[in-house]
Amino acid sequence: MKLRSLPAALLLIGLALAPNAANASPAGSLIPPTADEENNRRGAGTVGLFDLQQTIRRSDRPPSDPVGGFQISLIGAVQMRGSASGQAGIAFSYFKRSTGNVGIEFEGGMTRGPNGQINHGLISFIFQSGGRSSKLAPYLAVGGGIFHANERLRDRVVEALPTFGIEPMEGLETGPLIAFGLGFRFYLSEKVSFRADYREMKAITSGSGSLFNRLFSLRRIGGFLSFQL
Amino acid sequence: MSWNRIGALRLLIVACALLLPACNQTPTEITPLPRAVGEVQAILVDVTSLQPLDPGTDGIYYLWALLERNESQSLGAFNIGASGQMVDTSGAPLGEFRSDQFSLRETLRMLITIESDAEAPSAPSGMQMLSGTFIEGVATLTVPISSAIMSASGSVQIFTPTDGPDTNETSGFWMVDGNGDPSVSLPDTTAALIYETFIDINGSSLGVGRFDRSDQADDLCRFCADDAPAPERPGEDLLVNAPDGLTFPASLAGARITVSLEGRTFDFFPRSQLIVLEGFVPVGVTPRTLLPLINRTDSFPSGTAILF
Repeated sequence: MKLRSLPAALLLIGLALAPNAANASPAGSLIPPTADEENNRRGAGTVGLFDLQQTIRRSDRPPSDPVGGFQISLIGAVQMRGSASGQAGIAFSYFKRSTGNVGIEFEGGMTRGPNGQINHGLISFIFQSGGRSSKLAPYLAVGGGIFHANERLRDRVVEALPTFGIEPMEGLETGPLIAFGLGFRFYLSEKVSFRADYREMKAITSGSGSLFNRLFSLRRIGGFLSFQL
Repeated sequence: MSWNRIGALRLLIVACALLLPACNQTPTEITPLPRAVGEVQAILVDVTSLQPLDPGTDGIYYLWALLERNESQSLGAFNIGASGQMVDTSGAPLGEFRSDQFSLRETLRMLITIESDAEAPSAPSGMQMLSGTFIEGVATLTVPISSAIMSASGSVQIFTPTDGPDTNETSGFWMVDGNGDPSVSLPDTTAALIYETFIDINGSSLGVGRFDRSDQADDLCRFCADDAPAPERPGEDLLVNAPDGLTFPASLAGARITVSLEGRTFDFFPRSQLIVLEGFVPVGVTPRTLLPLINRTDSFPSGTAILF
């Protein structure tokens, strides 16, 4: 499977893992549950989004919270610069349990380009809105990190470069990243959500010139398949 | 509007404000990071056997990047120095081409043309000399015609059909054998290139006709007589309408006959450097002799380009 198809694949996996997604919809039922049903549901120890919407106080944290707490995410993305390289990664995040609106996320990823590989690590702060009241929650991400690029020229280029008096050699580069972006989280179930994510990652390269002239935009569009822990 | 919706809207507005100035950021120097994801800093070009041009009379070489949807971008003019290396128009050595007009990574093919206009043309319109398609970042540049040109062969028959039999028989040459069949084997031409026959005689070089197929007549017979029909094959009788400095009927003894590739819509110089076949008429040649033509495509220019 090509890496660039990972976002779609993640969404499909998420949908497959979420057979009760329809039940989590706020529009799932217009008939209020009976007292017995409510008691049974609480006894089972889970509260869905529909139930969350019925809570009076926003800070009420249910026993099983699809919004706050720890999450692990699989990342599939396409690098929009260069030759649309595929990117894969994993992320761990924690969202504030009381509101679910603020989270911190640690991400590691790998991009396979036509001339090499880029690994990156990223710490992001996620500011999310509406997770407790809607299945669709937009968010803003801001963070920073580090990249490590390993340039490997293609065989034909390596063979041809000596013609020009250039000795082919691998290039390594490590530098800082500044990242910001936005996206939408879609709750597939209490435990599973999918994030469509646009991230502008500014790499500060080791080239010459001013800081502005050394920036390289690693623009990424991808998907996060997140599992609540 | 709920608080959450207002909050989401604010998030989007802030994010858009942050993202707008972030478009198309590319550093001035391509380091391993951009190169790893496929960014290209320059196109390296190396050519061999291209001949130096006199810009005033021959035109000048142009390098073109061919993109998707038949778009093309000029990468600049160049010439060939005395030692055969590429030089810019001021004579400085040149080996790589850059552009801030488009992303070099989008280049699919390379094309080298000879343009007559000193000012940069907007699209390749001159004679196509070399072209190549990038595969895995490398393009092998060759003359843009079938590789069968390497095995082109043939001969010309010395006789003058247009003034009737047994008169001035060493004043003409035709690409026809004794049976009336074509005596030259050449691959098909292209939309950009066409064959042209030249004869160098007594210090003059005469173009005597262009053709696409060796089994059809060429487009000129301006020195032919009109006493008898000419063969439906390329060739010429040098019998009438002699240019200044020549006397017709001409003796072809010692003359040089060439078939070269020329620009179909480009006639800036008399004969290009892409000579396919060449033959020399010996002194004392007898009528109806089939004079062999030698394949000269081993002197064709070639080159390599790298997206780097």
